[in-house]
Amino acid sequence: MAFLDQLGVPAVTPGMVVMWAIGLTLIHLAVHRRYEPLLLLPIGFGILIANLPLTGLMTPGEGLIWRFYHYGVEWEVIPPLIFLGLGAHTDFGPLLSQPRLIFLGAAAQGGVYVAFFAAHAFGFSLEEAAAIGIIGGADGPTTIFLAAQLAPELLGACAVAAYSYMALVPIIQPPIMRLLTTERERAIRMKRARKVTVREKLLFPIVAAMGIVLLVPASAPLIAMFMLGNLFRESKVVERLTDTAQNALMNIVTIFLGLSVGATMDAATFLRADVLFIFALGLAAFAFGTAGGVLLAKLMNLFTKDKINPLVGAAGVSAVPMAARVAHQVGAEADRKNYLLMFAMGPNLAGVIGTVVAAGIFLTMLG
Amino acid sequence: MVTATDIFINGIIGVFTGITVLYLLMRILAAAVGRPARGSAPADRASE
Repeated sequence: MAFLDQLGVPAVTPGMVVMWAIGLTLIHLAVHRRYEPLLLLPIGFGILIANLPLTGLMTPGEGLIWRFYHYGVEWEVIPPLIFLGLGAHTDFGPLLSQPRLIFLGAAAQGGVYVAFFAAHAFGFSLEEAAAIGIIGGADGPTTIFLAAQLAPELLGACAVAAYSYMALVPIIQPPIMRLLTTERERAIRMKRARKVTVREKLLFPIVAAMGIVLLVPASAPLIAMFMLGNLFRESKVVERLTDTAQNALMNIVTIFLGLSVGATMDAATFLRADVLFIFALGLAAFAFGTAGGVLLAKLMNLFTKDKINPLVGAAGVSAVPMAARVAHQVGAEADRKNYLLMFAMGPNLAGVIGTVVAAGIFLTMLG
Repeated sequence: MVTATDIFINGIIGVFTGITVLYLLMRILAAAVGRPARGSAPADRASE
């Protein structure tokens, strides 16, 4: 009977059932724990439906979700559009007012390279190791952008790891921050930052885009879109475009991104021992990145009169603005009246740029 | 053939070079347009 022949039920495998559980877990975390819901909810649902048999949703050349993935992710369209929206949301004032804090964003990328080395030592190829290492940058779109080009078979696992650790910043970072700092260091009050002029904020995206792209051309898709979004915002003459970039466009591409990334995680691709390594190495990358930023801040304090609270170094991982908020909260434990948030936003934003530069260099050498 | 060490060294150098360039650009911007010019119109002095 034709109806019985086309049933999906007999084609269900144990691997698919395990993936349903993973998808449902991510949906639960998104809905009830509010862990990065904008991405984990569509990713979780993408996992669920991609692991239902005989749907053809991911059939190359014709599946609906395959088209979202192919034209949005493989063609490197969606991550740069997300960066357009991020740029439109970003205020570079805190970074411009204290330029030296940008180095903390660079130091936090150390975790990327530690994890890259470790992944390669564990047997991953250079390309796979790069995709795993970039998880340490705590930047979802950059992780997806790099993995899609260098190690598409690891895209789903790397993306879920990156967004999961971004959501777990308040749990992962504080113990490392407390371990590496004394209570006196955590209570350091930083000198009030200078005011930034409108003209500085207007010119910054232009000079930053030109400077970074001239140095690392492979970073252009992400950096150019990031700075374009920021230029929209700071010009104050294209409110409609700014609003679209911040809201409608960002929301649309987030839907396509989450669904298609989740749908790459079929049982055969995801249920491998490698994936456990990916999650473990991603966590190590994140931890080393946190430590790198804190330790560089402590080192800078040896040479500077205006002390830096080392906690803001931990915000050099790109999880904006969560890492900055965590730095503020841990600082407030030592001194309730110490307002670190705006200081921490500087390295937080620098981390975004640092991660994109790191990804650009991986692409230059491996792409 | 590219090795992991090549990538590691080039990556660290590349990130710090890129960040240093950005730092210098920010300092130049601050020096050039960060302070209001003498006698400039109030709109030029608008700040955060």
